[in-house]
Amino acid sequence: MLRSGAVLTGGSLALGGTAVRPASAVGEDSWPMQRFDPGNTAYDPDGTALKSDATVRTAMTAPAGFGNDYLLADGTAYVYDADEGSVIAIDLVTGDSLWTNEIADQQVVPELVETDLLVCRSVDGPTYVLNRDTGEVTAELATPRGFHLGYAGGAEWFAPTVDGRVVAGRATAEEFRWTADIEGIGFRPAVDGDRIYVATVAGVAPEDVNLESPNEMDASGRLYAIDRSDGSVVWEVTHDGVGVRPVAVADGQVYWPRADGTLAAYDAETGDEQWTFTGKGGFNAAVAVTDNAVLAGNDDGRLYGIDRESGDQFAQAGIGERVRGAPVVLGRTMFFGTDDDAVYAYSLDDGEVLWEFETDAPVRSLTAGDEHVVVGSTERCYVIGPSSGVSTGGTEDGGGSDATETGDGEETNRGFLTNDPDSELSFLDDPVTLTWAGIAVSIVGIVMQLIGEQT
Amino acid sequence: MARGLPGVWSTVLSIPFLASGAIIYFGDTPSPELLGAPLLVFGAFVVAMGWYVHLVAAPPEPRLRDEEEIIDTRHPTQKAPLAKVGLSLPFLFAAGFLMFFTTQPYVYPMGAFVVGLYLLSTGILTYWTNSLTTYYITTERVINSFRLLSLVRKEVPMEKIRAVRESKSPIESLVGVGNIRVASGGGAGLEIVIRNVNDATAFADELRGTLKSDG
Repeated sequence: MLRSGAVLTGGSLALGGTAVRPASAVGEDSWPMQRFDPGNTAYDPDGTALKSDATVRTAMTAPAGFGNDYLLADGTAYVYDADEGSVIAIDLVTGDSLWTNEIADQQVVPELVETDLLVCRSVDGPTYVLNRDTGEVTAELATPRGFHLGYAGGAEWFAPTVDGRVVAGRATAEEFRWTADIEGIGFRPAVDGDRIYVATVAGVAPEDVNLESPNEMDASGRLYAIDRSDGSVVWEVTHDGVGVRPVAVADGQVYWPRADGTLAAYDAETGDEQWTFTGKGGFNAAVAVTDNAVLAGNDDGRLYGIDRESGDQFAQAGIGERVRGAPVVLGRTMFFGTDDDAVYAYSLDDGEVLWEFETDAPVRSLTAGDEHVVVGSTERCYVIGPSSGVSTGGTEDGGGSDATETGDGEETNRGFLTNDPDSELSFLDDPVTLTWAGIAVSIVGIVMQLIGEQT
Repeated sequence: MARGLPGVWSTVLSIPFLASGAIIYFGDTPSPELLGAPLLVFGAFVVAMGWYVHLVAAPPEPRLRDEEEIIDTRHPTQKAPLAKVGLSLPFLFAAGFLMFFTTQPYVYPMGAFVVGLYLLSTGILTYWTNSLTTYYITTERVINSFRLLSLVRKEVPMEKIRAVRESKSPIESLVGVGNIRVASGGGAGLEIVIRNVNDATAFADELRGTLKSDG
């Protein structure tokens, strides 16, 4: 049952066709980089979506930050703790934490997996290369301070910096391939063909960047198309409002969500604006791009389905609270998170809500694949899977009542005799009832004894 | 007022329960909030009962008959209850550790919790009853005075005493205290158990000596 009374109005968000899987995908069902592919489309047409019986696999205290998702590869989720500067690997099936590496003092975000490597970037600047099996840092790149990392595959990466540059490199080479001079602080680039596209916020100092309330910044926005081979600026667009989320590019069209409530599409070749869609609030979540639609969450409490060609809205999901858990799409299932502490799964075939999952705080990060969804709220990271899997116990609307957190902040399901939910005496799985029973017996016993002494 | 400071010590004993219960119930912890409620209730119960025991009047001295004299007055020692409370702590700490810092099945933390809670509860109970109990040996009677809600006084006349038996539980042996059962031979109603006294053997011998001199 919908906690928020969310409704889908207008036409369904029906999709068709396929998208190209990224070359760096390490498995049939992986989410190998932020926003899934170099173009930041967040659309995996072949992924296996969790369509029902959403159940908590694990939940750990690992707050998520703005504008970053998680990664999936080979049955492992790579998540981050925005407060601790740590990166954590979680087994999707068991929910067990495989390793944790507290890399830096500031937020470190897993940006991509490539073969047996996990590449992460710190807000503080450095890019770290980790061994995916052990979590050990095997290399550190001296990228300047900045947000996010763009990736084109083939070990070719692009790092925006807070001092108005984009630096490009390959693998762990110490020398940058090129440096592009742009204006403003850039966010995760999108790559398509021989160009990269990056949005910036100009006119604001790095320490004044406000990702929570971008409109409070006295700044303007820029969108750049940069030649991938030499870093030269091909075209540039200026906008009075700012956008602090990554742009997306697909099939010759660049999509720029902005905090002033506009979502604009540009010709990737020329930079000409093709259409602008205006929501009632700011677009402060990255968009997902399918073959025929741009799916964009808005602060007005709606998830808009916008026709890619015309820019017209053809559907919307009304939630009522800000949609800042950027949408991701697997096949014909869309997932997104909201500030009403919930994640929703929508069928793009008929617009029905397949399930919703209640978190403990506003949702900021989402990744899906292998019939699992990894959700990051401002408090915790959840791995959600089908109830038929191992070590389950959660419910569709709020996680497992018999889930218990360990001292490491990891939450797993516990049984009475064993942790198997089907074990004997599973009806005794509630620690509250057991504790009440013990305390009640003790108090009654003491009182009875005292009365016995009295008589 | 009862002997010792049962209110104070009960409050001290309740602090871990009240603190952990408050943290779980009111704080932002991963444990279910309601898990803090029974801990708070138990802590509050211990505090309330402790202060009731503390403030309730201790049993008054018995009124003596003509030519009757008090030979000895004993209070139960608190060694045994303290030993039980001490023994309970490792179990309770183990229960907390297993509950909150591991994902072991509930049977393990709950098993430790039940054992720890049993030892703690019996320890506290004994502590309170000992605080409210006084034994008298007079030239004519053995008297057990207890007062919780109202005064309860049991006595066995010296001339009716048929047996004086000593007993010690393992914990009592460990801490050097014992119990003395004074039986009249007139049924259970005419029997006094002097519990948790130091030098139980000496006290029993003193009692037997009184009987011989009477005889």
